[in-house]
Amino acid sequence: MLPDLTEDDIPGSGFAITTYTVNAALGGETALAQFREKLARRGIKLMLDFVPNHTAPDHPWVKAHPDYYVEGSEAALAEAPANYLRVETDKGPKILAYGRDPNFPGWPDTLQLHYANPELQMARIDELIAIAGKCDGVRCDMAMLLLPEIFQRTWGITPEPFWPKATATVLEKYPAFTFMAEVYWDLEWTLQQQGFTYCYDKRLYDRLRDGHAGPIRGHLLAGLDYQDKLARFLENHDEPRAASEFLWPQHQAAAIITFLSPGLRFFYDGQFEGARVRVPTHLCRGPDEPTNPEIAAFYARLLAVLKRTAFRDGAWSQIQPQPAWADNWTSDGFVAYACAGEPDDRHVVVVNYTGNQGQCRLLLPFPDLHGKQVRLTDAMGTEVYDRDGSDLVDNGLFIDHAPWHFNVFVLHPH
Amino acid sequence: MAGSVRYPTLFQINTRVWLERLSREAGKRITLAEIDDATLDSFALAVERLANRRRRSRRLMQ
Repeated sequence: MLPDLTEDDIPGSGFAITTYTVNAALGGETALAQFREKLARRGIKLMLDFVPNHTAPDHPWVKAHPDYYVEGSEAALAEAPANYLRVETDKGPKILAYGRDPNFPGWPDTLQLHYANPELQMARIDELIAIAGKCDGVRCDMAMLLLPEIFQRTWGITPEPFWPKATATVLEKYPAFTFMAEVYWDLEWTLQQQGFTYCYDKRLYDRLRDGHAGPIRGHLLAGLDYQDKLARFLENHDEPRAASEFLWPQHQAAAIITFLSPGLRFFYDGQFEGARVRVPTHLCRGPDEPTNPEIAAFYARLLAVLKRTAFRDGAWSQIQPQPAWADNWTSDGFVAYACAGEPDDRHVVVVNYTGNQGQCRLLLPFPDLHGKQVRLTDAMGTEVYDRDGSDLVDNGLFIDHAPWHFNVFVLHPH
Repeated sequence: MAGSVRYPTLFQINTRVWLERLSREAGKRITLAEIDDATLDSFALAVERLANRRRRSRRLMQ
């Protein structure tokens, strides 16, 4: 990836944290405050990263507060040498556990914080309050590892729930603060209930990669109280670049499904230019990649669509595609939405999420179109259709799409 | 979240990679304090009018 890699390109792991202050090389605390101020003038909020589960082995707490960490024993070290580390502390030599999850060996650049120790919980909440004073939101790495039932599975100890207390305490001081959880293992709803504003929606991403429309529609049937609090993404630092993972026709179709669904629209630097190389997080330099003009043009149009009030603030609903005629099973390959703001700001999104041509009918959930003529203009393409409003409501909008083809129709009734 | 839009947009950057790129382009070391208005404006342009826009800065703090 970087043929001219040097030591300078490897600053160390971002998951092995020694202190939550801004590194001098990035400009220090003052620079962050200035940066945040400049963003705020442009209406942009700043979210920072927080790694709750563990710290670096050279974190000052290791010496001063070894009781903040999960302690092992000679027996544990002998049995699982890859999971424990001997350290010197102010309270004598100790054997502490590497950070880990219930499924894999420890991460040897980290030590596991002991969330069953109430003093550690207090110290972590104090850190979150300090971070919340510097930004508008925090993305919490692997947030589910702190859940009592998960911690129990990993360590055999059940801590008091951390997140309800932590989020409530921070929100008391900073009511507009946003918590976003990186979360897997079907624990999104649990973390939403414990105070997270947004949770990663890995499930939609996985189903888009699997390439079957039925399970995608099924996922999007969940209540909006849940879906509004999902962070929808097609790539991030932990996933392959979308431009390398998806062939371009499917990439576009997946982006339409992802970013026009309800929730937080979560993009990654380089995605808009079609970057293909995933930069490992322990590097501080990425390769020079040329912008892919076709991908850049697509995302520019998609971002323009996302500026429409209906997609930012409107009412979203799923449309279940109906067979275009008896025995035509190709309707099963479609995903479709309605998205409505004011009566003159209504949209129909339709995607043929398969590698075959398909047809379907979409019964539009806008009964007041009865008796009107409706012009449908594709905001992502060039198609324009004039249709009878009563037909759209009663019999449905007829769709006949090539593989992976999609539209974002703007409706103009007249 | 008070006063924000229902469905905001988040744009994640890797701070160190981003600053390294800006420094290379500028031919001098750029920190968070030296990001010029043009860069921020172009940065903002992509998500312009998406109120409640947020930047996530991986490893900004460490």
